[in-house]
Amino acid sequence: MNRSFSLFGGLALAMSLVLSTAARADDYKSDPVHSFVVFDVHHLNAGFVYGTFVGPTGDITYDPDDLSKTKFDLSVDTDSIDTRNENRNKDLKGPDFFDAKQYPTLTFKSTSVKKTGDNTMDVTGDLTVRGQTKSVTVSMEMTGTGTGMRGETRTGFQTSFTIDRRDYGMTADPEPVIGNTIHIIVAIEAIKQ
Amino acid sequence: MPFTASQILTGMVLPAALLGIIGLLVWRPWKRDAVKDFRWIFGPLTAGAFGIAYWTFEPKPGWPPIGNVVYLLFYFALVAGILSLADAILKPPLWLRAGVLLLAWRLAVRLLLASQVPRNISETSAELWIDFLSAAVLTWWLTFENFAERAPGVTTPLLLAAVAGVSMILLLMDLHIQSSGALAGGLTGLSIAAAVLGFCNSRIAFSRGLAQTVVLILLLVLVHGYFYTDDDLTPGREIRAGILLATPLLAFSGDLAPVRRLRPPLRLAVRAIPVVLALAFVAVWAAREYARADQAAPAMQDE
Repeated sequence: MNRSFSLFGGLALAMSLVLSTAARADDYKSDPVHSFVVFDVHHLNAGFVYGTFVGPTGDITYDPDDLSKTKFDLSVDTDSIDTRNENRNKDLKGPDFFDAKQYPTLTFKSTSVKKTGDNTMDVTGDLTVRGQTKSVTVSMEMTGTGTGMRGETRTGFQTSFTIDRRDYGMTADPEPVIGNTIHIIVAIEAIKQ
Repeated sequence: MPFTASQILTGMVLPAALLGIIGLLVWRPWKRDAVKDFRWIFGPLTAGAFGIAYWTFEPKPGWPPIGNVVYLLFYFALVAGILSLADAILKPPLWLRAGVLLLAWRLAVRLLLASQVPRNISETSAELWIDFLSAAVLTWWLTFENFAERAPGVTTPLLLAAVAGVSMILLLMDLHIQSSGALAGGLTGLSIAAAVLGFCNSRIAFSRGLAQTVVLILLLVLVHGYFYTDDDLTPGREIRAGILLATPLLAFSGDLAPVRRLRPPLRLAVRAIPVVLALAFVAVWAAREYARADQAAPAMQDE
């Protein structure tokens, strides 16, 4: 009896080890409280205006050993834009810019991930803003892994990239009033599921 | 400055110049005795000129028009141009014209509101809005067509220019939508160009052509602005929009019994003056509110 039990236990242990090795791709959910989308844009060729969105929210599948299994499926609530000026926020939410009533979310869905360094990768994906989808490639860094207050595993990702707002139909207030190039920083803290 | 000089030239001046030049070449107002009825040209011409304005200020329209509701403004302008052309050539009875126009309008408004139902507007509210806006478009259309039919020449395009100009002010200052304001500005330019034509020859007719096309496009631009602005629709803004919408009703003052006895030019003045006064009131009120908010803005930033 003991022998058969230890045989069974050994098999189970071996199987779990094999399975855990094969299933290194871990699923994460973005923690919007500890994640940020920050952007800046040139104003009148003078200073820079900064703004934020809440989030992003969404799912990440991350496999450090096989990045081809890594996926990012993120979205940002358009209505959450904040530039520390209520009138400007309303303008940005209106039809001239993000058109929040028609397009309540901005989304990013990765289509391929390529390793570029120990903790860095090039993530190519579809960025949808104002209903217009363009393929973008961003350089993403895995910024670290830690343990949360409840023992959960948290992993950070960060990227910085630029887009041309005209590619997404945002042509109001043309340069030099508002620069065409928007610099965006996305910092995500994701909780392992 | 919200628009570049090149945008203003391409989106406002060029369409107006095209309408004016082509209208001039077709109508030849200097040949006063030999004027044929070329009003059919104004439907497609207005729609085409508006298309240039749209192309300047809005995203390139995709097909089918489901990616962005703003595409509807472009396609509906084409429909309005074709409807006006059919009205001018086929001369259908009024009830048939109104019926077809309402069908096209209701479809356009339904599609325009679709992305907000049921998220921001319930289905019942949307239906009520569509009915209300159908009544509004019918009133505007009847008023301006009536004007254009009874008084060819400069009067109708001048009134249209005033309505489109005030719409531009409301879209820019009340609803804070530059692109929609620019489109209304484009329609103002087209109406002014037509007014110049009408001034050159008072026999140039704008019914079944320019008046109908401008009214249909302008109202849809206003509806889009009203439903898609992210600015708070304060009571003041609602009242100003309501007055603008009701303004054409004032033109029916010319049908009051005592006014009917007046000579046609006086009767026309009785029709036009209340409309212009109401529009001026709305424009001045909106501009004052805008200036007040602009002055308050730095204080808010300091906070």
